[in-house]
Amino acid sequence: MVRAGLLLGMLLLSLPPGALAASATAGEAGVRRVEALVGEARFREAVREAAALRPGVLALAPSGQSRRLLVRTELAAGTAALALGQEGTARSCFLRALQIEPTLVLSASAPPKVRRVLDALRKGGA
Amino acid sequence: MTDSAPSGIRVAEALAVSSDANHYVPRLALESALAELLEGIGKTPACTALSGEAGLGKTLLLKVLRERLAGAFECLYVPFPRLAPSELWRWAAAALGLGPGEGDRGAVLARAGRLGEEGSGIVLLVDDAGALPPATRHDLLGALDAPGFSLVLAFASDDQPQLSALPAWVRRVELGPPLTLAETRAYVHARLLRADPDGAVSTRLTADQLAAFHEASGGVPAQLHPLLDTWLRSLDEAPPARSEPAAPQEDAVAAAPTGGLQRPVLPESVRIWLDRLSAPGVRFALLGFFALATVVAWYFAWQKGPGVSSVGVPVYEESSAAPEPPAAPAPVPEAAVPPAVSAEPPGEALAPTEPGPEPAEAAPATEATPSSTQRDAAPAAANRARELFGWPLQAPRLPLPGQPEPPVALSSLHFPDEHVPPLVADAPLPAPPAGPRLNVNAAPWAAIDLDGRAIGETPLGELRVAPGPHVVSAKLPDGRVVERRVEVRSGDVYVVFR
Repeated sequence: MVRAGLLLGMLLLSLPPGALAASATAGEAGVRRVEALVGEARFREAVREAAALRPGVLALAPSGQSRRLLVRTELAAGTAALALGQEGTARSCFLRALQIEPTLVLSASAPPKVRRVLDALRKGGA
Repeated sequence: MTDSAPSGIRVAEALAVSSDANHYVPRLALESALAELLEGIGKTPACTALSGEAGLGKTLLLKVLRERLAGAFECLYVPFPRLAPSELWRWAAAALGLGPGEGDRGAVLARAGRLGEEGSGIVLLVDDAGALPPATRHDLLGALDAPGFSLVLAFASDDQPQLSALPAWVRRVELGPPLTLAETRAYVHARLLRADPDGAVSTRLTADQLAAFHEASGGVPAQLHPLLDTWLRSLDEAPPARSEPAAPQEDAVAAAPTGGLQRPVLPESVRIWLDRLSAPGVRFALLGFFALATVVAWYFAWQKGPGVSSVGVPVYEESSAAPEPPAAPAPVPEAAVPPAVSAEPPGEALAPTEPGPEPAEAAPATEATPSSTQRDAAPAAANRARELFGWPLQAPRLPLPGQPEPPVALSSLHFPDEHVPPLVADAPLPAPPAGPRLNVNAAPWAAIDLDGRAIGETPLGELRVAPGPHVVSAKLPDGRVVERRVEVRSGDVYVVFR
């Protein structure tokens, strides 16, 4: 028992700072906030929140989770920009999402408006 | 431990093989068998045959059953039934307090009948039922016709012929398999806790020893107890040092009469290595080393800054280190985008960012040349991107000064030309239109009509509307049409359809 505790303590002490779960949790909360703003039709606020959130998400330790957070941030920001008629900004966001996750697949309930832009980007025919 | 009353021996005596119901430790197999036995009491057929491997606890189970039936039924436990019918009925009558007489069988069954009318009865719990003479067995089965009389027969696994001789209508209950390792652990700890509430002995039983005991006993409690007994008695013969409890216990296990019981644990070299790790000096040295390593790691992490955004992939903000920071270009209408070269509008993600020309003019990518800063930063950026996000980016081959930058095609998201185009910040949002604005969204989405006129699909934001009442109608994908009446005065109005 003592040995196990000792080894566990060593393992925890050796974790890199970026592995702290608190940051990832904060990132998740931030992304949810942006997604909620989009859902509430508060598009301008969503774009601002996403811009503020990006550096924090980018600073997370590289992991599948941080990648997904970044993709969700870009999708939400792109959707909000699209709603505001800023199609260029929206495509920029979607393109970053595709760069991070080339095999990105939207859910079946995604708005056709978003799907069309993303499909066009994927096909390279913006 | 004292010489007069060594705790190990005291505990060992308390842990001797016993069928005392007070020593019952519930487990799934026993409780399942008990439930089935209880189910058969007082019902037709009122005979249940319990069978199971020797040592699993059939006798204990019968005694626990007797306890659970106490008050509801009159239970008679017959420990050894090698008796003639008349002897058995005489014994039962005496146990029930009925006077001696020629009709012991009738007296017992009459009492059972009277109890049966009150919802109770007599239950005969016959242990070692394989020892029942055939005539007695036949007589007992015949007595089951009497109301209020129930019979539980416990057979060992080697009593198969007698078990097979029972009529088919006799309910059969098989006592479950031996203890699993987890059950052995729970069983031993439960028993030790009762005998040794302070835990002075139980804390000296390691998981490895327990596993060895389990393996040696095959999970059969009757075989497990002698091993525990031997181990417990040996504790007082060779009391272990508090800091190193493993060795004496291991000797004790080895000394147990198990016929080849061995400790199935780590190899000796690994065990020695782990023992050395436990030494206080080594422990503190290791802790110190890892603490130092952690401080160094934190220091370097702090030195490296916040990560991706500081190295430029993807860059969402202009780097302050760039000698000529490109101005964030203003948004350009779609028609102004050179389609063959870069499908992005100027200033968007993949547009090369050679500073200088007016952003709105959208200089073609083929004519752009990266600055020296960009050339220096690009390999690091690619490596950092791969490190952070696993992108399949390679060190970029940048064009020589004066040569055109290779085009970046949107169809190639992996940039096979190995060039990593810097990303610039998104264009700032233009100011919202003056006057009342309508923002509409729907889950999942909807086609929106405003005052009977189609205005597009959601999401729709900052649509200028005239002040006053409006009707917003949403046609959802499932065919529903939902209408909302909104009063718009000034600022933003948010309408969400779900």
